[in-house]
Amino acid sequence: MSGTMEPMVTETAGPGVAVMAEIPEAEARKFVGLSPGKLAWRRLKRDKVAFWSFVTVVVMFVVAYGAPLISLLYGKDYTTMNSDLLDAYGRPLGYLNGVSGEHWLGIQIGTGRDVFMQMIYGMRTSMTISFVSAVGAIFFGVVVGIIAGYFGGWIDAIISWFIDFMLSFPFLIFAMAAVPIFANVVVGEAKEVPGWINASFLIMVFLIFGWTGTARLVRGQVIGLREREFVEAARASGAGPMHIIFRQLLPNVWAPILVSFSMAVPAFIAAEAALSFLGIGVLEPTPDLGRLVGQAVATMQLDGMWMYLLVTGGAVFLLVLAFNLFGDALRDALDPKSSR
Amino acid sequence: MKRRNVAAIAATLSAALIVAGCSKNKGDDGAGDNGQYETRNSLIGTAEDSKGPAPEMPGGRKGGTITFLQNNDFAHLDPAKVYVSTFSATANLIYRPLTTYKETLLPDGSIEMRLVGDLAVDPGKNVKNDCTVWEFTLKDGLKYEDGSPIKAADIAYGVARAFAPEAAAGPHYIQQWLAGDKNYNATYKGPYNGGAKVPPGVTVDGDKKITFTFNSPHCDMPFAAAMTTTAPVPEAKDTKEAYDSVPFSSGPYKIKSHTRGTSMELVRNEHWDPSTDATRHQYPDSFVWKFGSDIVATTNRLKTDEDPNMATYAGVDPAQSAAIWTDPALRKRSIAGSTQFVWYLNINTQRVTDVNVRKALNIAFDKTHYQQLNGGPPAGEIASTVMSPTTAGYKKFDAFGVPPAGDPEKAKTLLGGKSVKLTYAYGNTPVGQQIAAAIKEDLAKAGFDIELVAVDAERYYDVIGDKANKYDFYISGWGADWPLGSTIIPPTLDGREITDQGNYNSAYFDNAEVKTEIDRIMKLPVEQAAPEWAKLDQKIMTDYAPVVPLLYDGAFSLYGSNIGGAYLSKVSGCVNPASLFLKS
Repeated sequence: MSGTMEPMVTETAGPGVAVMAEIPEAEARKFVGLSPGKLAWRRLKRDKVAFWSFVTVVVMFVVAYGAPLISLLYGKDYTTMNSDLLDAYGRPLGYLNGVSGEHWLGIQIGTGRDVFMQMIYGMRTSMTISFVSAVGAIFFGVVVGIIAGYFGGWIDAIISWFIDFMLSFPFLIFAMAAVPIFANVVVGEAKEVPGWINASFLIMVFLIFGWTGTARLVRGQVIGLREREFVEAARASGAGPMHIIFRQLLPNVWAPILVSFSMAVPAFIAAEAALSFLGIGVLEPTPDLGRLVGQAVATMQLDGMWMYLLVTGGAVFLLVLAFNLFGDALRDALDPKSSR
Repeated sequence: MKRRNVAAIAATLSAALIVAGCSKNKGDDGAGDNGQYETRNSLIGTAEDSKGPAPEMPGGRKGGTITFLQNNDFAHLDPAKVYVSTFSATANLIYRPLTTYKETLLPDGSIEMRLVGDLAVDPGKNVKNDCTVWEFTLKDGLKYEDGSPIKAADIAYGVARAFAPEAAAGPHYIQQWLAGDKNYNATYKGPYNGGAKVPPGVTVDGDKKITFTFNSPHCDMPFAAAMTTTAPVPEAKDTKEAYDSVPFSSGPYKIKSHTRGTSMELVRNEHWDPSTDATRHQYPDSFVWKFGSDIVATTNRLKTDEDPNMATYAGVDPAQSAAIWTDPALRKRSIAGSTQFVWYLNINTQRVTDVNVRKALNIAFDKTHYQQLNGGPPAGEIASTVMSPTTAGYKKFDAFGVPPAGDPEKAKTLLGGKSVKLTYAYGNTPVGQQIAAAIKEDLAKAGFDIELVAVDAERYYDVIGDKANKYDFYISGWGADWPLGSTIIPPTLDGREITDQGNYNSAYFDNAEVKTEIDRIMKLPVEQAAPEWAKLDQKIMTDYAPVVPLLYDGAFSLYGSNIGGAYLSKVSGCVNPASLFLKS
């Protein structure tokens, strides 16, 4: 067993070695030959903000994706409507929003569902959508950006024009118009839209609009790199475009790509919450963080309901902040010249 | 025909944050408030009831200015275009139709409502006793704001104006009855562009008599005449478009100024004679409407009693309604109770043809949960009938004898233990989504498997009003135009009303027995018809169950501490400005 694992470990160290030649030697300490990857890792480890934001992100991941397990241990689920724990007006009984030993973060006003369960299942929905969207949007953006940057000429002109067109397209209006139409086309009229299809629509909308920023960024980087000596050298040695793109250019734009990924995730989390808030996101009964915040905002005037807003709004805040800080730290570590 | 928007019940956002520390909510089941929802029967009054002046309000006092807060300006004040109940409540201060409702506050706090003559000496004379010819005689001493006398020809001109295509926003009853056709202005298009000043079917005899002649019996004419269609408009004063902002006054107040979207000021009409008016008062010197105050701002301003002379038609901010409802000090300055609106779960009888499934839905539905999700008792009282308690002849009954929270076990038995798959359509609002999730969970207990389909809230009524819609059940509201079953059951449950689009009969209920019964009752004099409608209501629910009555929609709004004479008008479902006064 352990024998078969061995080659894989050595392989992961590979790309770092490949880029060594392009980074000025002065960056590394003269007496130890460290790869840029190792240098970045060392910088990242030293950064306290990076460490704690990373821990927060990991904890949130564990909590969100371990939701069914937590539900099992906690003994509550996210669907049960505890109308008996509400008064006749739909307000939670007891202190704050019904906080008790049974329901640690209280219950929802109106429906009486457990806020903790709704929140972590909602986090799972939000994080899945934003993660898949971010991965897809970055991938697509990188591909388009490299093609435009490397080939230039009329290909670049068309792609740049298309990116400008997409950037000027109003995202919210498109989302509001498109999501119900998607539902009608895919699911058919008068049919319930299952939660995962609804989530796929959102991912699709985010993909359509999310790739443009990365594509521009990568295009700019590639234009700057493609006339550099090492690319010329590769070209002179007879390397084809595929080799130049994947072996020479891509490793050098890796840093901005990682950073734009870490920035895209919180942006999509916030956008997904906003769409749910507007009623075009994920529908009941699929739990969703944005919808929870929407309800909390609408009811925060009521006695003790600030707790509901604090908990749900706090979760979105923490998630977005942690990802943003981690993204910042990652950028600092990968490209120390840009920040100082 | 009035519809209430689904979005109206949706919770709104709010700016102010009020935190009352760690007080514990010990629960209030909302009981003890049911005295608000008393049953009254509306009857047709006599000539004696129609005589002025109106009995003084207890503590009524002259003087001062009452300020009304409102979000939007009145879209219409032209009597030919007024339909929305808050518009007519305001119009009631400015002009007078042939008949009107006299609401008498009884010592036990309930209200007795009677239809009486307003400009007319009585609520109309059924000349041939077959409801085809209605004669109204005007009172003596009626004057406009300039002191000129009100003539029968001005009423005929007012009705003629309602035929104009541009007046389509107003009610169509009298025009349709006169024309004998739903498409009432196919030939006669009102008094403009050379049309006759007196519409066909209307005859004016001297200055005092006006007669309406219909092809078929319309025993509801005295009620239809209480709508603003019959308010007098002197031809010389008809300013056409401008009339929609500043109508000519025949009532206790006249418009001093009206700046669209900003404010409107009403002052006393000195020529109005209280001895000719059985229902209105003229307590304050003036009324001022201030527009641009949304529901949250209005609620907060009234809650803090910023100006004790303020009032509003607007309901309390839904997010705050429970807190205000349970605050005894604020409840003292509020009006609350059932309105003419009722919320139903319409079962699409074209698709759900098995009456046992419809009955099982009635039995299994958790109305308490529905009420709770809508904000509890302030949203309305749990319903079991098609007709609202504000309807004449209303009889409280429950066709299925189950508790308001439903009886899933009983429903399961009725379904024979099998699982029934149904599709529920709802307007996509935050509260709409929660209600959908709750319906799915509650009905699952009885063996229903519910698919939830969200529909764009703005298109919702178009979608469910489409005969070919593919949904099995959906919620909608209906409000009667006058407190008789004839404006509830025929428009919503008569199969002949079904068209391809824009249906109000959204249960698509078409039953021969019910149609025959509707025809029979329509020919009865109003007094005899009232209890018959209630019987038909019970029969429809017991035998066919095409709808699940959910809530008798509740009105709940605040007014300032110096306002006296406020009560929930059963006519408009809001405060009646014509009875208000300032205590000091």
